[in-house]
Amino acid sequence: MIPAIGLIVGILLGLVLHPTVPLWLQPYLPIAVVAALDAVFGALRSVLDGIFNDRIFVISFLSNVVVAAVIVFLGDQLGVGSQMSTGVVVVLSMRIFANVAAIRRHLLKA
Amino acid sequence: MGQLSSNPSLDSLLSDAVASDYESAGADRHTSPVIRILAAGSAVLLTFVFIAAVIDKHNQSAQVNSTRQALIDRITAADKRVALAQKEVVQSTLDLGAAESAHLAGTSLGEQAQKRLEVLRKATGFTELFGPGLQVTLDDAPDSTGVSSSGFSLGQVRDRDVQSVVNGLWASGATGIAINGQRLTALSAIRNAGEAILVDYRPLSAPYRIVAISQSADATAGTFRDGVAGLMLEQLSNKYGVVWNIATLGDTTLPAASSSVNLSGGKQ
Repeated sequence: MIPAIGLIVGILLGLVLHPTVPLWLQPYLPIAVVAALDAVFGALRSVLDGIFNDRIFVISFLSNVVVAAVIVFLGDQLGVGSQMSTGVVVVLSMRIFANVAAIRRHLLKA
Repeated sequence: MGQLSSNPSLDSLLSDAVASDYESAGADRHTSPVIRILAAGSAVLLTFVFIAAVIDKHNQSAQVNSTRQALIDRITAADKRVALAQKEVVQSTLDLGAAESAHLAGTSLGEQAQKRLEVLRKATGFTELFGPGLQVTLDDAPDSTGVSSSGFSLGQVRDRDVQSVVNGLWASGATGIAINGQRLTALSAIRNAGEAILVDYRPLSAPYRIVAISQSADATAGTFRDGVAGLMLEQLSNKYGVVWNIATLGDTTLPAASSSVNLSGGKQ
């Protein structure tokens, strides 16, 4: 419940504050968004499964974002930044699909 | 997790990647308040980042649009300046001519020089020319599908075609020629730049209307049609579908050349 309120507060904060993203952060932004989406859908699925856990939510979100950022950063340094980004996006998209499929099975029984 | 692929090693890789984080731990009923605050903070951060990304993307496209518009504005402004400057050049050339004739009038030597100057100006295109005209219209083939080895569509009119039409008109007795209102001087260049044909570095677009003035327009038209250029045009239209025709216009005025000519190539 508290995290759900947090999600809404985050949207409102973003709309009110109109944050500008510093230039050095811009390559990481799409990756961060995909990692965050993965965390949200994972959490939603676990809520429906009845096994939601705040601790795992925090850890999985933070570690996803950090690992994704590190992979992209390393890729940039090695000159394969776009390929690394693609890899991160592919894996996280697969997870999002799997989570959404589980949510769908729960809600629609299909 | 269901079967993802037929390959077992690939299957394990995929199922590892998409395994739920929560399954291993199970629900935790006694969460400490710190963890709860952290979870709420993560949730806030999560959607905040999402909104930030959306806004950032929006800002970026707005920036690209405004840059594009600024560039377009600069191009049109520069075009206007060029047109204005060219008008000034023509006016100044006319003024110069008037001043010259005022200076040369009076003495017999001066009048001789002026007559010679008049003839040269007409021949080189630096004064308006009035007389019976004829027009050669040249256009790309309406449905040119073939593509030449250099990547141009075969039915497209090229600089060489326009050059031979102009040369054919000179050879048939034309005394002045303008292409789409651009007067040719003795030093005009007709050439391709990419897809476009440039006359004196000004791009033209099809159809190309090549207007010539000749004292005997009918005879010139006949000579042109039977000459090398006319036969070549006939062949172009038969082989590639290039559209062309020739017609006499009656009395026509050709404008003076507006572009200044760089004579630095000639030794003084």
